[in-house]
Amino acid sequence: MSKGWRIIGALVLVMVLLGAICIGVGFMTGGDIVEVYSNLNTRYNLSGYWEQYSQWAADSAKSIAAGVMGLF
Amino acid sequence: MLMICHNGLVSPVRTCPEQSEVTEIVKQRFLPELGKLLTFMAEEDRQTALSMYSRLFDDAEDEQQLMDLLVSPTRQAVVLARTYNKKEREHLLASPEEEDQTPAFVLAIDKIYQQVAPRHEGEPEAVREPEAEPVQVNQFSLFPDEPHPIADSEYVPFQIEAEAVPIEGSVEALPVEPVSPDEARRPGEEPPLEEPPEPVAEDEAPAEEIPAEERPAEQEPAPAEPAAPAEPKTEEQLFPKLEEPAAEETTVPAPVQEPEPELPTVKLNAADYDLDNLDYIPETRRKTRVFLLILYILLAIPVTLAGIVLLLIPTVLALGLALLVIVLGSAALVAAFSGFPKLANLLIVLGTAIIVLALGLLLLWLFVWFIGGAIAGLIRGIIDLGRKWCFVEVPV
Repeated sequence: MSKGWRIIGALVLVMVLLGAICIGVGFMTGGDIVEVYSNLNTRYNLSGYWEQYSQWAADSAKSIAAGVMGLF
Repeated sequence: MLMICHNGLVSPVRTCPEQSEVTEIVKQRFLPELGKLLTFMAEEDRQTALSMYSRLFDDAEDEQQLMDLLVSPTRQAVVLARTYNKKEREHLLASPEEEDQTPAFVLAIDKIYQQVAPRHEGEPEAVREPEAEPVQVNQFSLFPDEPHPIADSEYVPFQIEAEAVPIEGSVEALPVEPVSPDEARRPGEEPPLEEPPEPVAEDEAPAEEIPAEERPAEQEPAPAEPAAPAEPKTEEQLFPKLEEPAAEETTVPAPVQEPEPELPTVKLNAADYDLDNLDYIPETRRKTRVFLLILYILLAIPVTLAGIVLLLIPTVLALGLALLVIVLGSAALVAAFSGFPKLANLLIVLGTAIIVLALGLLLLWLFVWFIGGAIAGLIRGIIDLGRKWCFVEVPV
């Protein structure tokens, strides 16, 4: 199991370094985060997912708080 | 090729005995002690080994090298024990026709011999010292029966000393022939262990002609004295518990009596022996504490189940997160190569996708670790604990 941890750790470290290098090179060559977000939002409707998640989280928090208050 | 030394001894070897009196003294103590330690050998082999060691002392060209190689009788006994198989040797000795090669212990001694006394070219074997007499277990001298190498006339001072004891200090009452210092000195050069009064006689012999208070001053320039300080240095290395050096005996005239030969103490070092080959393993049997086992099972099962449930929560959580992150990373990866015409933006999305996939891989491995490491380890640990508490090893 410890050998598995070493292998996975090394693999994850390499991937993180590679991703960091790609992001760094992208920003250095004129990448724009706003353009990326708008492109992904157009493609996957990220704002819609975020809105749904925020609504679900708020409802869950309210129900949990009501349950806790109902105990007392 | 016999050599006649100035003390009258005829030596078959190249050196006179007095040239290495320290070696001679060490030999006289070494061989009997070694003989006692070699009782594990067949008697014939023991005598062979002792005679080879005797020859080793006689033919050694470098005393110090010999001492360094031999170290101690115990050491040599261990060396021989490692190369000796008594059953096999007894079988070979019983049927000599099967003995076609040199025994290993002979080779071991011969190896030392070659280092301290390499054979000279053209020197025939017959010139060497004849085989030594068998050394008995309780023998302290190499001259048990044969005539002592010192002439009988030189023992006269010893008899004088025996009679002179009651009138110690008086020189007129000694009815003996005057003995020259040279003659009196000779017995002290080779004092056998079983006759320690000889050095005393050596001191008392000139007392007839010389006043007692002048004796130490005249004996100091004697040629035998300078060798005395060198003797304890070598002896202490091999026989640390033996008596005081001869130089002190000359100053204090001790009453003449037959002293008990002091047996050398043999200390066995565990480091000298091969303890790894011990094949004695005590047999044990596992005995079950039944009541404790039942009680443990009743407690261990719910505890184990609770632990598994507790560990399953992070396990499932890790699996869910891993799947979610991997899906997100894959989507970002697909989007990077399909929806971004600008290379810079593509690289940003690609880097983000790789990092997210790396996180997903880590979470997936965390799930595997929870299943195979944590939960399985919990079960294994509880079983091991039950084995430790509820079973006991008892000798058969």
